This record gives sequence, structure tokens and C-alpha cells, in this order.
Amino acid sequence: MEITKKLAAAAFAALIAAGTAQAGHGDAEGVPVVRRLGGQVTELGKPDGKGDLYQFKAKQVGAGAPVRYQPDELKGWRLTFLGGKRFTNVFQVLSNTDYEITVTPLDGPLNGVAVYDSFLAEELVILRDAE
Amino acid sequence: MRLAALLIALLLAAPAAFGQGARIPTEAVDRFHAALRAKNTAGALSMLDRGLVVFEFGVVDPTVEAYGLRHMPWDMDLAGITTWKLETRRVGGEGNERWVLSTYRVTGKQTNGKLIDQTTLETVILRRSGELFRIVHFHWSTNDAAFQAEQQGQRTSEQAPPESEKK
Repeated sequence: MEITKKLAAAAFAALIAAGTAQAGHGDAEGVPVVRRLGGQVTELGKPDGKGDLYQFKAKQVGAGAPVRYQPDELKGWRLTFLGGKRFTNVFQVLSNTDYEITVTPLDGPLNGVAVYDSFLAEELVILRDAE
Repeated sequence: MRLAALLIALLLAAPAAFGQGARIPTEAVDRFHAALRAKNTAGALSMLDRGLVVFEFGVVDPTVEAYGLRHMPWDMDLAGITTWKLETRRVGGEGNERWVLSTYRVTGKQTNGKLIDQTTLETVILRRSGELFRIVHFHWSTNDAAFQAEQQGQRTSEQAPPESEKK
């Protein structure tokens, strides 16, 4: 019974979150501008022992993009793929060098990502349903 | 146990339902704007067809990737700091191709602090695949000539699209 209550609460929270995201435009409060950096995959990383991919090399693309990322500049950022097989899939950056990005395993592996896939990295926290 | 199973199914279904387009064309449009405002990048993208083409303030984004990289970030920032009040809406089309024409009163401040008080005109074309509509075209413009010129200047001066778009 206790488990059922917890599941009900979690389901309700998930539905509320979904409903909030779907609400129409209303009275807007000022929201700080978010730092964002675009990128494009240039090379896939080496899969781990299970064959799963968590790392890739990339270059910056998009408006005003400098040549390379600053090391760990993207740490903790939300990374969303804009195309390819992982279109709309979201990952959290674990670390980065000037040209290599590693994601956390929290959102699963990057399997399916390919060279030339574009992504948007944003200084935003990922809201997970289970949290 | 059945209730628990149902709730688990609901939990799994909630994000999927958000991420797959919409059954009603106007819902897809409204969800897209809501996702922009919530800085929900994946949610906004999920309302877009892979064949998206955007005409925005005199500039073309020929792919969903181009829009996502170059102009969606700006649109998310603007949506977060302005109020969009739907003023008029007409819908039409039939079968798997529909259109939604909307005008919004947009007020607030730009990210550079300049005040905004304008009417934004929006044309949206949607395509149904399976049971769900996704957006294949946006065209935005405004009645504010100065804002239009400013945006057009900013956007045309931006860098060339990434290599994948040149293929």
C-alpha cells in the first residue's frame, strides 16, 4: 500500500510537470538568459566494456561559436540532440575537454549518435521524473 | 497491484506523451510555445517535424538543426522574458495537412533591456504522421518595423550553417 501511495505521488508529480510544460503563454516573470553552446559531433568515443557510448569529440557551431570549448565549461550542463537517431534525447555532461565531451550514465548511453549530429548544450539542470 | 502497474505505466507514458507531437494542430503550436517558455528544448523540438523550415524575420532556417542551433535559443530567451497573449487564431486545412494562423500581443523586455510591445504574426503548417501532428513550417513577422529590422540585421550577420547542413 505504501508503495502504491509513493507511485501515485510520483505519477501525480510527473503529470503536473508535464502539464506545467504544456501550459500556454501567461504572465511572464523575468527569466535570466541561459548560456548555450551549439556543437557538432566530429568523432565517436570508444565504447565501454558493454559496448555503450558515453563520450564523443565535437566542435562548436552556431552563432558566435569560438573554436574550442573551455575545459569543464559544460560540466553539469544539459545536452540535447537536434538531429540524428537521438533527436530530442537529453543527456547531462559529466566533463569536457576543449574538444571531447563525456556524459553521465544517468540518462543512458549515447548509442545511436553519429558524426555530424548537432546538439545544444545549455547551462540548465535536467529535471528527471523519478526525482 | 493493478493500481501500481497502472501508475508505473502512467509514469512511463507521461514524458512520451509530451514528446511525440499532438493530436490537435493548435495543441502542437501551444505546446511548442509553452516548451520554449519553460526552456524545455527537447519538448519544443518534439513538436517539430524533421523536415521543418523556418522563415523568421527575413531569414531562412532550412532544417530543424539550423533552427535549433541558431535561432531557437534566442526564441527561448525571448519567450522567457516576455508575455505572449494570443489575440486571434484561424485554423484550416484538411486530412494530414493543416495550418494555424495566430497573432500574439508580445510585451516585456528584450534580453538587451529594450521594451517590447508589438504584435507578432505567426503562420504554422503542420503535418500528421500516424495520429500526431508536428510542425513543418513557421513564419514569424511583426508589426514593429524597428524590431523587424533589428532582428533581420542580427540574423543575417550570423555565421554560415554547420557542415551537415551543406550536404
